[in-house]
Amino acid sequence: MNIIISHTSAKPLYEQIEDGIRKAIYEGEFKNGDMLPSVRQLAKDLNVSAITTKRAYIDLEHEGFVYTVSGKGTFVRLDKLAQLQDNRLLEALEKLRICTEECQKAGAEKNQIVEIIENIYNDEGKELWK
Amino acid sequence: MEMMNTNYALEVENVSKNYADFSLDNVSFRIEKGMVMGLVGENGAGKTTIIKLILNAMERTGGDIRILGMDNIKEELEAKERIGYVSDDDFLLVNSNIKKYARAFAHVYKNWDQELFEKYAKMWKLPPKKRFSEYSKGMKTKAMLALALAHHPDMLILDEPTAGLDPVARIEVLDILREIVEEGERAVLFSTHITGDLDKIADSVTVLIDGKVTESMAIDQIEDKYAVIAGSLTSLDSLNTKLCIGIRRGTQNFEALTERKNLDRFKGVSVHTPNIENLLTFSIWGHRDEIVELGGENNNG
Repeated sequence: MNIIISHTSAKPLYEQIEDGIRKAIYEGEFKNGDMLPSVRQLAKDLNVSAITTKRAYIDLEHEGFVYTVSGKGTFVRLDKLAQLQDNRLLEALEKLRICTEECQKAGAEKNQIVEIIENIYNDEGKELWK
Repeated sequence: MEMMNTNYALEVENVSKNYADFSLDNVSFRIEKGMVMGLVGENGAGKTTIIKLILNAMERTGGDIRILGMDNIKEELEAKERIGYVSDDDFLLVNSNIKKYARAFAHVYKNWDQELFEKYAKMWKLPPKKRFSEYSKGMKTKAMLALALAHHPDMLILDEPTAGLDPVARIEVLDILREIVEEGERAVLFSTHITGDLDKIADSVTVLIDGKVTESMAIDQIEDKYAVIAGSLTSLDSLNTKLCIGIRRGTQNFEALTERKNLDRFKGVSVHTPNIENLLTFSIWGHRDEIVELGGENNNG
């Protein structure tokens, strides 16, 4: 886990730490149930006060990314990540549905729409309109 | 009747002290167990006065002070057994040495831990029999810290503890303070104007200006509440100037501390999260501006 802190950012330090942990979770650095460093240890590692790391863990817990077992530690929770990825996919599919309807209204045939998607997929989308 | 709340290591409630030329005015703050609080302010703001009142080393005009739930006057001896104190001016007698002090402290404190004391003395290379007159300032500070820590205090009160220390020793001291509060039972009050040390370790901060507390809250709440903005002087007008806690004006540009909720009132400014130095200095500048403005109004009237 590589957390980078900037002291000149508009973001509070605890939010920067949350971002760093969320990023590590997104990037697959953790298995479900992996233990995060303790609040005190992370504070020492990052040279920030313990309340800063504590706040980051509390916020992440509210969001469902981690859970805390008192006396044991804070652990990563990947079901939240799977759920987020599902939501993201659902949102994207909804956008695709709207776009497809727009294309239809603009007079595109099914095979044209499929071709456009294939071209976008092959990163040739821009050339199509040249 | 107030209930005793043992979640707090230190409770300072409406404490006042009146001198002829200075007064400490209704000072209140609380430190939870497991926390490090920074007490910041200019020289003469009243930091050392508060600490002396906590230690009952001088008489207060009013208010209440509780240390680990104990009244600091009525239960002074029990409370002091659990306090470790490092003074900003050294109390060490020039002709004495640390070995003699340790022997004296061992008689005073029931919990004196000679092994722990020797561990610190060794780590900080403090020669046991060398006279204090031959100790450097940094060595004297470390000697006082070793003496203060060796009876396992639950409330550590440090008045400018890192001021005389070299950078490596300062980091060592900060790490020791982290260890002390680690288990969540002990607390530290850390008075300093070296605010950089506090950014690394303080969980909360109390700002003292001219004998008054202007802010006392947890660091994350300070980050939530305030922002430092910077930009061209043209971004300031008579309305949004009033929303600044303190402003530092240049010839073209300005920097100011404001509350985040007011950020949309400032156009074209850069924003960053304040550190403790920002909170302190802008609070001081704001306080001075107020005095200057009030003076101006009086002259006009």
